[in-house]
Amino acid sequence: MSATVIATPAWPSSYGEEAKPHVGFFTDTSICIGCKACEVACKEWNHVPDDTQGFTGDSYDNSGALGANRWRHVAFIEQRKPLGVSEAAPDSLVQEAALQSLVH
Amino acid sequence: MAECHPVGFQWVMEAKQRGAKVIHVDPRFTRTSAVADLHVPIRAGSDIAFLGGIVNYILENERWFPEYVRTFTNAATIITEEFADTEDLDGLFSGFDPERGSYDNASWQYEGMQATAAGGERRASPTGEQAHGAHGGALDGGDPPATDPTLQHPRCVFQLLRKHYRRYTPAMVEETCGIPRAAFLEVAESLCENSGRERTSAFVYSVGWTQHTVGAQYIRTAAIIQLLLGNMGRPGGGILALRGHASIQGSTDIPTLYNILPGYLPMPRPAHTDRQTYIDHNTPPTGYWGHADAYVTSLLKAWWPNGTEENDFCFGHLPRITGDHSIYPTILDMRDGGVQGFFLLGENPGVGSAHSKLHRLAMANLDWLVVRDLQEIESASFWRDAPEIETGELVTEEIGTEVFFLPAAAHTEKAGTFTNTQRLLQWRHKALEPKEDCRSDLWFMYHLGRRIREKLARREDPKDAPVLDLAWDYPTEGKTLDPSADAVLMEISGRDAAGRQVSGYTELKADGSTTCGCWIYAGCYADGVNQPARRKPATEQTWVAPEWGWAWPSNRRILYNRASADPDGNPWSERKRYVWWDADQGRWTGYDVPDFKVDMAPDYRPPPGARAEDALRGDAPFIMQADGRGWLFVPSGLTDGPFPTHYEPYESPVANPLYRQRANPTVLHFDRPDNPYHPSAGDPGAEVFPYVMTTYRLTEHHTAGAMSRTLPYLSELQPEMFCEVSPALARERGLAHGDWATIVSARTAIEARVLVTERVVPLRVQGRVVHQVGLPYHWGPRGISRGDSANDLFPLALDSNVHIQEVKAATCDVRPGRRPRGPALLELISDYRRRAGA
Repeated sequence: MSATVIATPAWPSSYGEEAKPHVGFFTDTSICIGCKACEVACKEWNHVPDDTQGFTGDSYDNSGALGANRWRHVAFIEQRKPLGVSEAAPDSLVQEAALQSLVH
Repeated sequence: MAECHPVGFQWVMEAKQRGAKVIHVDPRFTRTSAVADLHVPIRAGSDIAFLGGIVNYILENERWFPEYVRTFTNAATIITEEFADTEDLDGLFSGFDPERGSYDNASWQYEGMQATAAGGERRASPTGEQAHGAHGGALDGGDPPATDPTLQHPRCVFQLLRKHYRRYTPAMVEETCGIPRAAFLEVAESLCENSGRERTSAFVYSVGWTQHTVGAQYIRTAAIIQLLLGNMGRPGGGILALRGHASIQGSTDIPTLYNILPGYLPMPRPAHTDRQTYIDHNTPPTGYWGHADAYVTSLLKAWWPNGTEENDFCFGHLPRITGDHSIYPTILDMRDGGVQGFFLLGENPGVGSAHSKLHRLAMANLDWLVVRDLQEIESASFWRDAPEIETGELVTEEIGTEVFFLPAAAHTEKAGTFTNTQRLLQWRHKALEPKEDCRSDLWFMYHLGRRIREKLARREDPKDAPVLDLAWDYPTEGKTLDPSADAVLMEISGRDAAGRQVSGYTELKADGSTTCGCWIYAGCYADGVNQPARRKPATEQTWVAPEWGWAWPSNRRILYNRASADPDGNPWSERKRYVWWDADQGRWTGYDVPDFKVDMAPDYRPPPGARAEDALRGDAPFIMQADGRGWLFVPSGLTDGPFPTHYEPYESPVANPLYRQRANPTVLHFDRPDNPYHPSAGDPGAEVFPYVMTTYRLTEHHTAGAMSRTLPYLSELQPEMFCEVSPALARERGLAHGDWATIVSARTAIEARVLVTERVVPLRVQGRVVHQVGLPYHWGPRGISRGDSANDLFPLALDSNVHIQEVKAATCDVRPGRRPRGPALLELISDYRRRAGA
């Protein structure tokens, strides 16, 4: 993951001198393990307040969805997946990290 | 590993991208399982059956690495006729004393030779008398007196191994571990396919293996597999222990343990009246431990510079061990009023230790308690907010413990080293000054020692000499007078007679002319350079990266790396070339620092009377062992058997499928009313606690929670204590997803939110379904994110080798709803105890 400057239109003029270059997250999902450190780092760097949802019961994800106080979110989707030995563990599931982020 | 060591896991992901096959064996499906090629759910506490099955697979299918095994291991060594295996004695080895619950290992010895252990206490018998290395018989030309190189003798280690694991078949693994035959075979075959001359495989484990009453033997079983497959001392091989947090490796090297001195030198016992007696007891005639005299004398000189031959180098200043002073017996003693004061540095036993309730009750029985931490942890605040206050078992006004809470500096606020699992020391610079009254542990220890010395100096009492004679003159820095960690590292690394920093442990002397605070760290300040602080980029050095940090001993990145070459000193293959013999130069060479006497030729055979490393053959890579071989069979050094054997956890709903002896016969158990155990399979009342419970960690929290439950951004990610159960168990017990459950043991009951997930797989074991309940153990009553502590549920039942607690497998009951409050909780527990007869 790295912050990359990308060519985008200028920010709305209302930002005036506060306008900053447009940046986004690059996430390589092929090596992402869903540790959510990017969620924490995003909040740290941008001084985004905590907004606890309590225990959601949604796998290991308790941060829910993107919002005013969550500019980056790693969702966990539990789904059945045949593993290397199909007859061994027919009920095994895979947990996949689905990444969402708000470009800001 | 992805779950608990996410940063280190990047290397596994990189290996995977390069084609490595990643197999994850774990009762639960985690972030690791999600990216592994294969996840194998296993019944918690059955790993020796599983790993023993792999040993049997390797042997029965002739998949072992013959050239490696014949020369580099003790496979050919013949064992004494008196030895009897668990297969002969229905789950016991010869030498068991049922009254003491311990073994005399006299019958486990090599025929004609007593081989001493490579580490820890070199004790020959449970009487406490240490083995006399010098009495151990001798190698003859580098070989034990009785061997059979054809590996056919019925009492040679190889045949004993074959016999021991013969019944660990795929069917037995399936019946015991709940692992279907096909999954087991895929694991076994993958390991064999990826081992040999061209390829190597590694095992990575953590406390899921160690926190059992047979913990040390889990690792031993992996060691047998790795030796049979030729995966030790070679790049990409090995058995890697992931630690609970940073520098746990360092805390055993420079120990916070009661029974060893720095560098794994045993702590003296009362029988060691002088230095020579101690050295005689702890110096095997063969192997690198043959220099123990130089290691201990240099240590004494580092600590007590006034040591001379005349005062025995202050050997008398060392304390002597008189009993089991490990943490759990100490806590029980504290509970019984035998301990007055207690220091807690970076530990939160009121949440993180087994039977944490017992720890809180014990600490309430102290005169004083010093807690140094980043936050006011549960172990500092128990006197006002422990769960026992609510039940009435503790009354604040009646607790006499005076608690001193001292704020500690964080790792970013102090300099020092971390030692990781590869034995790599990495220096950490201070990034910022600690705030307000926060101080480093080094500051605390140094200034506490300084003040104590000032007080003692006025007394002129001879018994104060060990403290007053100590070298305690570290330079200090800054306005807080923080001692220089750099100066401490220099003391650890060691100096020669001229005051020059030594380059390695081979320079250490037994005559008092050298100093060294930890012999295995000797040379970490070689050339007056802080070697662990080196950070040369990967692009500017070889792939082994010898100039990144510093690895003990002598900056070797792989231990026993002579095994990366064949007996003749040639690489096993080009692909796995690492360290080899250069015949022209007459030296070992390679990408790493050779872990071998550098000019000892592969065809060297020791002459009669040779000592220490010179008594080992030029093709014996395991130089810390008395015979230079990797030990498939361990004649000395383990309390519970020379071969790992499947025993059930101390509390288990399942009978031992192999032996009448159900659990490890040497388990340390404490039969007292405040530590009740559950009946296990076959005993009346076992059905009251029908499920297996196991504890673990989550990525978002750190151990007992002081560093994460107090932070809003981490707490919101894992805000509440929960339990993980399968849909089948949820149905069986009426648990609703997202609602509450109460988990009950004879110790106490806790509540948790319910996470019903198909990631928890019910296992079929011995014709019945075994359900497992997963419990993260991070929570306690303080912090932003609060909850009950999983460790409250577990009993004290310890491994007899290392006295580690069994919190990875025990039994429990689960019921819907929140737990009762106040005294009603105690009533619930007494009801369960009554029904179970616990």
